[in-house]
Amino acid sequence: MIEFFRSLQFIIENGIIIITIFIFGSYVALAIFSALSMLNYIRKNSFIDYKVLISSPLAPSISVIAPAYNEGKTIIDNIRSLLSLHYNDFEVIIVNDGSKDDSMEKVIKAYELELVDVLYEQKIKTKPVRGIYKSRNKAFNKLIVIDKENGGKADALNAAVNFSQKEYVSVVDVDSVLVEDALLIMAKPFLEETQRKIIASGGVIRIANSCKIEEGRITEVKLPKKFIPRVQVLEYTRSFLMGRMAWSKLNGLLLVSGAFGMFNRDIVLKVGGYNTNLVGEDMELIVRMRRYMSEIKEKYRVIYIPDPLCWTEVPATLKVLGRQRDRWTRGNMESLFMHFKLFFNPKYKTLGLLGHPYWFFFEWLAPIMEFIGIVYFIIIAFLGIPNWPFFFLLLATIYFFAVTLSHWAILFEELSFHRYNKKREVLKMLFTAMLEPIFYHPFVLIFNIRGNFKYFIGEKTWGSMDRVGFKEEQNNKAKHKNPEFEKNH
Amino acid sequence: MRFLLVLIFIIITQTIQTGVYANEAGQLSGNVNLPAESISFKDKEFPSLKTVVFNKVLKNYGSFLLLYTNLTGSNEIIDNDTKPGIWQRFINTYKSSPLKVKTLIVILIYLLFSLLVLFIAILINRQIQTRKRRKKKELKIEFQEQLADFLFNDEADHIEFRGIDKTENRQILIDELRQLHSNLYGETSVKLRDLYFNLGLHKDSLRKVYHRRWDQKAKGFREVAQMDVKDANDYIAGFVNAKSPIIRVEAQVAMVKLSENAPLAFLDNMKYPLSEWEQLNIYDTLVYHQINIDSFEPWLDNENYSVVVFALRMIALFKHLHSAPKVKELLFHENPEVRLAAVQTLKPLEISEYISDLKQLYLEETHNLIHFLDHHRENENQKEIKSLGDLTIRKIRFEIVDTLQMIATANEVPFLTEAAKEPENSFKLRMLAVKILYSIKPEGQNQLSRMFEDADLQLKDMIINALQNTES
Repeated sequence: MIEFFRSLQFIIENGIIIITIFIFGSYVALAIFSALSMLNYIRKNSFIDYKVLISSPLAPSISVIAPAYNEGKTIIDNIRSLLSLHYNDFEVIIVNDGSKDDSMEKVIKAYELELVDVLYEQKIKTKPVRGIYKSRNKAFNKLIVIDKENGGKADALNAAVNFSQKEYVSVVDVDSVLVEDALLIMAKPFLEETQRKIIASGGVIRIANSCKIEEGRITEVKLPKKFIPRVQVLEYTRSFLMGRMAWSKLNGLLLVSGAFGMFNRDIVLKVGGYNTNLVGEDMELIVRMRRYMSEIKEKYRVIYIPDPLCWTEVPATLKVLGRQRDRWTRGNMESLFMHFKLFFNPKYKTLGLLGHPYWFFFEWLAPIMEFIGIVYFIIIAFLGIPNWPFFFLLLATIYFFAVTLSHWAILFEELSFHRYNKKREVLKMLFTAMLEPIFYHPFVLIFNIRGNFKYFIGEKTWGSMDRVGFKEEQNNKAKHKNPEFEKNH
Repeated sequence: MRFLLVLIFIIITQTIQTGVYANEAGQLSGNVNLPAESISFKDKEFPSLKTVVFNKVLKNYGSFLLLYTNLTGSNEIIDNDTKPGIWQRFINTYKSSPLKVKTLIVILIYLLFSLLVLFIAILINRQIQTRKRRKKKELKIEFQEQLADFLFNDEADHIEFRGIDKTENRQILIDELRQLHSNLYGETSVKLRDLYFNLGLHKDSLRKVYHRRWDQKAKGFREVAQMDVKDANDYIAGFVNAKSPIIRVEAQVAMVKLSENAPLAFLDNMKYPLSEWEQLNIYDTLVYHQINIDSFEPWLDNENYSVVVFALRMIALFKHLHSAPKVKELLFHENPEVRLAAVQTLKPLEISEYISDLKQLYLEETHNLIHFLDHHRENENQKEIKSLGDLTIRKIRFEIVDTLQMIATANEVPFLTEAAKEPENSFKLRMLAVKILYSIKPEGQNQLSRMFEDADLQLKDMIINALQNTES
């Protein structure tokens, strides 16, 4: 019996060492790969003149789609910001997804809208559309507002995809702030490729909490004052600059953020648009599009743009963060399990052999194993049999590995886009990186586990996002809370 | 942040190890002069709760004490003179540790060291970059003021720039000159170019042209193109077919700008497909610098289809009516992208004599579509097929009907009626056909009235919509 346990222990120990090397190695490899890709990207785009795209008749047409639910507090500024994007052939489609507040009335008044009689094809089935609005004022002739019954974000996006007649659709969270050249920079990769079809491109998402915003434009970038948003700056920097950049290069990117992305409309329609039964509709769409392209044997790519094009407000409290993270977890799980056919399936090449398994093991399974490990460790600690010196040695190694990785991410940011200008801000980021594993990561783990639990019991609510509203935050006004953004299923 | 996972698992294996080798743990405790029995789990009888807690405390205490004593040497009762130093004791502890621990210690030391280096590097980099940026900003403003004075003040015939002995400062000046040169015409533009040459800045640009790094080369191509430096034309011409798309596009733009006689001659021998980005840049250069091309027809027979598509687009954009007969021939080209571009080219030219050719193409494309759908449909009821091949064919058919919008007469009523009635046609195409029919008065409108009775639901909606929108 003892022999059996010794063998088991040997297998586990060596297995763990292999996993350790693999995890550490994958992070380091992704970081190196990202660094090289980033360097290449910066060199490539350092002297590109995007202005040639602004007025060219050869530039592709784009519909900017922004679904809105109870965004009355910020919607006027946000639409203004979208309308002032630098691009020629584009339209802004705002979808009012059955808001219960006065956002529709505000928009009608501010942009002089009137009902228009337009007949178009409902290629993707959606909740009934109450009306299409356009402005009487020529200054707003790029604006279209679709007023429809509440059906959730995915349903709202589908309604806009149905209405759009442009080549590409750019999906934007209405409360996000885009930089003026965002469409130009995002559209360029679609034009460069000749051998493969670019089916989607995703941008980096930057954190706008504490930033100074005037008339829907970022006028001063500031590091968030509060710990929770600040630590998310690090998290996003690591994820976007060190992770997605590498995945894009490997053509294994499974996610284009719902906050800002651009898609080939024909392909979106071919795959049937967003799935309205899911909470993680953005990731699932990309996986489905990729799967479709692989199945019809068309060469394709999903592109990632590292430029800081989109700024958005992130949760500032643990409560809201928790809701967001458990929704993300459920979203990941939906896509992974719905498309489990991809798992190590050589037919799907990088998607099947690398992308899907990586997300399965590192994004879904790892936190669960981590949680089980912690529970087990607590039991063991209570029984008093851990080897404490070894424990602390290991704890220190892992802690410093995490902090070092975050410091690398900060260095990436410093050497590339350098958005936080004050010396105090960089110091703050460095120290935040030291606090993150202790005061932030455990909560994220708990939210992740809660997401897993909710997935298995079949809960499908979105959870609400308390938005301070950029303008209001600057004026230090009271917090606004949107009602529950729930899906009607 | 999945490192904790690894930590937990290693801890688990460690705890198993501790449990299984309780006797070895006894040895550990031996190091600190604790009785082995106090942490042994080998007792066959179940110990009381008091004993368990006591054992637990003692063992944990023992573990801590082990680390402490190993590092401090406090368990060794040795003469102070011969007692090893802390560094020596650390090395001793390291040497006596198992391989796993040794590895961890090495990794930890490496991480601590790299963290320190990173921390300092980030701060120093920040300091240097801030200073560099400030200096660059200052110089930029200074150069801008000097250049404005030089260009618009007749008395200022001599100009001296601070710090241009340094390459990076010269680059700031080149960028400013490029910027200004692209926005100026006539005498001032010539004056600026002369200054660029007099200061020897063209040598910097040429150095970049011949640089081995691709990004420097591309930057050099752009600079010489903007500042009209023709010394490297032959060299740049060799890069219009470069493997790197960045170099390629910059070389093409430079050739368009710098070639005096045949700016688009390089299109004759394109090795790679001309990307949309390349086409856009070439077109922009032609327009911006008012470069006149008499005819794009020579490229309509090119073997590279993307070049043919580009030439067709240029014919449409520059409204080369004289090329229409040649474009008409391409309506029946073997490549669907070329056919699509040909139809799109004829649209803005609004030539009614080609209507019959367009209608003929429509019929052929309908045949192609039916054949394609039959081939890809698994059953008759399947609406969407799993292929992208039908998209171009559908686009060609739509563009043909759209072309008729401007030139249709009563003769086109039967053709448009068929297009509107065909349920296999896309919604968009049927709607367009109805709209055009409505615009043909009175024949088209009468036809819509006649169609209404037998129309399917979708077509009825379209007819009503066309009627309402026109009335309003």
